[in-house]
Amino acid sequence: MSDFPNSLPRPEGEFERLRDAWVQPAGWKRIGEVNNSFIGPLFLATSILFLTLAGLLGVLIRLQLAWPGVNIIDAATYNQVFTMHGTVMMFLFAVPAVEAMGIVLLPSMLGARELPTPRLGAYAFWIYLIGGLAFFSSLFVGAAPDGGWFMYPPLTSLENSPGINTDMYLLGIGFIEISAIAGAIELIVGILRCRAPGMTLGRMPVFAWAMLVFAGMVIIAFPAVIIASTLLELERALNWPFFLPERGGDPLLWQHLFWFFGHPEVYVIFLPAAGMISMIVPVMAHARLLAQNLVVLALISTAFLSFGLWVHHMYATGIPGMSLAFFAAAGFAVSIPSGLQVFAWIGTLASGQRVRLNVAGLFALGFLFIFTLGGLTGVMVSVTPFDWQAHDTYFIVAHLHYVLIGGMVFPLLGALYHWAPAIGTPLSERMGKWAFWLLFLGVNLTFFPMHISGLIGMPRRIYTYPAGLGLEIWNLMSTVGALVVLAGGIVLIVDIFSHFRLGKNGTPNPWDAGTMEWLPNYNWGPRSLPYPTSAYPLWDNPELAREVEEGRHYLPGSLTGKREALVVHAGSGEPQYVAVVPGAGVGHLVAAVGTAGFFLALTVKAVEISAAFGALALGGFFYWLWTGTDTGPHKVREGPIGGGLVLPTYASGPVTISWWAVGVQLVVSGAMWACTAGSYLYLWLVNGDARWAAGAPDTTLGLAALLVYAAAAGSFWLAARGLARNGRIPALFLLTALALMLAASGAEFLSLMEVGLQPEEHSHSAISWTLVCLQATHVVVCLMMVLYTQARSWCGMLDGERRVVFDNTRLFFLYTCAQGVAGLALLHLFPRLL
Amino acid sequence: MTGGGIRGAVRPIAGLMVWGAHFGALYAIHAVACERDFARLTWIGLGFVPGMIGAATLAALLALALLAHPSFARGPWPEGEPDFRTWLTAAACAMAATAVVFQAMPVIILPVCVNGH
Repeated sequence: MSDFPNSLPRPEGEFERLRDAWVQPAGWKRIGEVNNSFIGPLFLATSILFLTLAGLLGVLIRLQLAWPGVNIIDAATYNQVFTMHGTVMMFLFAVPAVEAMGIVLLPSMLGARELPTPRLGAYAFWIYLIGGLAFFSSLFVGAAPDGGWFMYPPLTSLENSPGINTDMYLLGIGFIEISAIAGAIELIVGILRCRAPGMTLGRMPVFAWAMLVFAGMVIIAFPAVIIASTLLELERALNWPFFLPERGGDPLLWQHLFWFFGHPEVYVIFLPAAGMISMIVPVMAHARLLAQNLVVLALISTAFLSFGLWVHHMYATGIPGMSLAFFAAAGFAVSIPSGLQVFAWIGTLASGQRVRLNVAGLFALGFLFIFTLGGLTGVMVSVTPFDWQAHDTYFIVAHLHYVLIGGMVFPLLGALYHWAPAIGTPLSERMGKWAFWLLFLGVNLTFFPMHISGLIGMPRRIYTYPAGLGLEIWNLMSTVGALVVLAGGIVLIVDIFSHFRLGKNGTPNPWDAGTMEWLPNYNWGPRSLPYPTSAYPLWDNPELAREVEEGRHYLPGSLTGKREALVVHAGSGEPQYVAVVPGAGVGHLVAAVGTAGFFLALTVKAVEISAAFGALALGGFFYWLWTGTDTGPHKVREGPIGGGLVLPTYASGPVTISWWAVGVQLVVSGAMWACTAGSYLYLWLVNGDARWAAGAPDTTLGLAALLVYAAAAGSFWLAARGLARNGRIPALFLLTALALMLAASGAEFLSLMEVGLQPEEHSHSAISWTLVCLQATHVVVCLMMVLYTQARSWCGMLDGERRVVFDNTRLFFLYTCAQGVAGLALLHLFPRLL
Repeated sequence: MTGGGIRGAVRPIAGLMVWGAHFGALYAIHAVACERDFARLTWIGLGFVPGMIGAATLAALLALALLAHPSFARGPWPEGEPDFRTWLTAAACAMAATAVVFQAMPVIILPVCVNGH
């Protein structure tokens, strides 16, 4: 009797059937491929392109500041250059780069065939690529943003920034955030549901934990900056005064919203990098990560606590001292889990028999040194009185670069050298060492002197400075350092171009690592899916690679002859069903072009063109959904995956990955609503009760809307009951539910109009209208989803068993009803309690 | 096959969600008290802000104890499942409790509504 889930020899043709299911289109058709092995490396390469471009802007900044009175670029161009440097680094390099690493590595690391929503991942990549390149190009026509990467009003108000530069940021970056969120949804569902059988949360690699935490932070933090950007764009385009004090607005609202995103963003970038280090260090030491459970706890705790730090950036705004102390306390608290990780890495290195100091190891040590220095100055600036002195000086520039370069760039470069053999050919150790030392010395030479120039009093964001203040030598040293960094970057890029080739492993497991990405992997992951007994299955069983390759473990073939992913229980890793996942297509590409075009055309106020692109995007979405989503039960309804397990090939309801994806998307919607509601309450707080009490919307219409939302939810519930009982949707109930929802939304609008609230008048009216409009956008999405669901039903593509589309629509519909009720309570009830 | 394990995935972070609620409550209580001049109010000798923050802190600690209790009752925790999630739930509650207490400390030592600078 075999000890393995599947015995040998494997049936003839099993491997070929698996290979054929995952074959990728050739030639130009490959552009429609969605597999992670294709999209992931493209994503990563694009992010490195943006790192290079933003890095060159950094060098330009340093050349300009090399000596007093240099005039390589004028002040206005300088403003665009430093804004683009920061914005591109943060939005177009850092977040996409870690997301890309996740897409590249996670399926094989988790022992999965594929991420669960590959077209969503591909869509995220294409809007990032198209939008990012268009956004960067704005620099060449003088239309790039110029208000700094955090774009504070009133500097960015229409009065002070009348051109399209600010709009380019608000709309251009806005949709790149859509890419980040789309990628995060894919990663969350993939990490929780697409793992090897039996890979419990406790056996999950730390990098997967870090990426899960990262994605969780993205879906909470990014909505804040989307709402902030929307409010500022509404103010600029429609004269709705959110940030104009003369009409009840407050510029500090922007700072609250932006930094609620912006501070966690630092950890969004750092935590995945910490996860990479937690994978590299055990391989360097050839020892299991010390206190892995505590490291997981540290990752999660850091993520949460980081949401209590946003006022760190607002110490100089006059907020009462006790409030500042709450945030300072959170700053000190977050040092506990951060320190815990550092000690775990040091302990792991100490516990190893022999430490291998390859290039990845050097970058890991470089990270420890640079990031720790950045962390120490971080503790300094979290002390409020010190921050008042250092605020907006080059001390802060030094601090943030030590944190971001040390905490993200070095780990990422280490990761490139570490994992290159897992996805292709290894990079050169010799050139890598040159690159490391040039970068390490260059970074310290560039940024350490900035601490001193900052303490002398040099402010940020100045395009030149007068001689005789003692700043010359420190600035010259920084510029020389930047050139050394440039040399290191060139060596790195030459190494990548001359040595890296994507493809099958040239050197299987060259570092003798213990995790599953080092199994022989194809573009469908490993041949068969092993049952991991710990976080280091290859160290537990040195024969695992051979066994997996022979097909002895789970799901060694394709049950349906199509691309499949094994879906497991989020906690226990117990296999639940085999999902058919989509392959190459064009819908996501069309949708990406449409989305990018829609936002970019809007930036230049080309409304008709924008509308045309919007229609194109919708067409792409619907084609994508109609042709590839919920293809229904396969003729092979179930099949054996090994070990006596027989799994279904189709599922519906809360167990499905698409239901989870919609659920995660609703968290995004909830975060957006919460940020808008928070803005409403903030503006009430700074304005006093009078305006809110006097301007309460019409009660009768509000009450009517409330009842109609409840009726809409009830009608949908009846439709669901009808589907469960009769196997078909009673059209009357579904369309009635939709009509009721539209009526409720209409009543909301009327309730504001009835009392004469004009959004241009005052921040109260503007934010009230914004809440109603946010709800209306959800109602419009519901409209499309319900009509789509009904159309599927009429076309015979939806019944009692094939009901994934219905379940997803129901989830979104009920959420929208609940959001509507919450909005009504806020707009109608709250002012009457004052 | 009824669900994919949402509860099991969310429970380990429940303690830190309590921290989030407590942090939000602290900031909101203090902001409203200073902005609307509630800070002058007292009840049995206790100021509005210290009283409210004290109550919020006790409520948060109670919630954390309730969340963590089943996990502590199940210890000790070996590395495997389901004990990892049980351990993580308890450990996250302990971390959250530390942060909650630390967070509330300023109310003991700082004046309530003095501008930051």
